[in-house]
Amino acid sequence: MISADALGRSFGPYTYHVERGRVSQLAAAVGEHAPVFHDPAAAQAAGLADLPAPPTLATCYGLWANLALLDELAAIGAPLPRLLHGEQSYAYHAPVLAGDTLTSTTTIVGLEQKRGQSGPFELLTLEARLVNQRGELAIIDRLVVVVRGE
Amino acid sequence: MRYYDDIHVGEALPELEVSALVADDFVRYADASDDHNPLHVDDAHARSTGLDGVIAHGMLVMGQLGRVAVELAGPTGLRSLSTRFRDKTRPGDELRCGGTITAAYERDGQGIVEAELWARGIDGSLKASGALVAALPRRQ
Repeated sequence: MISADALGRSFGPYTYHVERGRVSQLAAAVGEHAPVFHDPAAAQAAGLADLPAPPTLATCYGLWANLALLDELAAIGAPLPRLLHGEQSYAYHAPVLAGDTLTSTTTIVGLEQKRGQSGPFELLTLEARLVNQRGELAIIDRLVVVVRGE
Repeated sequence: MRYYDDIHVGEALPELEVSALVADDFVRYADASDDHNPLHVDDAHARSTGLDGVIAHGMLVMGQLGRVAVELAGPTGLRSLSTRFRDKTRPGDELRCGGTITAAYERDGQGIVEAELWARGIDGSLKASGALVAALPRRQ
């Protein structure tokens, strides 16, 4: 079980460079082939300085891709094999384009004990705030993970 | 991308059909997203956890809702996108994704629309539900 004092804990900061290759690869992996996500000339024709982030690009900079953060969660009693992705939301405050550098800090903003048909489980809510190289808040990423009982 | 002026509350968004996913799609998604949880790519591991085999990353399904959202809002018009994962997606599953406009209003001179989203299996079973808020351009 996760200790109640984990609520409010923060992890990071973690820094990421948004690469064109990553933008295009993530778009392709979800079947998004619109040229604006793959071709800088198409992005410029759409009035953008570089390839725009697909809506779910921040997942590449979030929990599931962050081994250091997964280790932190394992240390508080939420190891990867017991985690399930329950909910995900993104609030977009400033556009993210290839070439940007994002810095994120993740905070445990929710921790609930629950009991289901297959026994007790916990709901852990993580909020990551991704700030760009100009210091502007770009994305707020909220993720609810279901932590299954042992 | 749509114009705010052309949006009607209650209208259905164009549906997206995703042909049957295969295990290689999950491998490709793992590489693209850097999510290397073996649950999505290693059949033996997935079976050891009590599943019938690998399951899709929830984010691969949310990515499809992202495509529906971009069709409406363009690449930079989204203000928020949220998803609740309802059921597992397995190799062989086809998906249909869509949504409905639930609100349209002006705020700070911008045309804002809200929509509910869904992703279903071909049998109609709900895989994920979601919502979006977008700022759309106005006709001059």
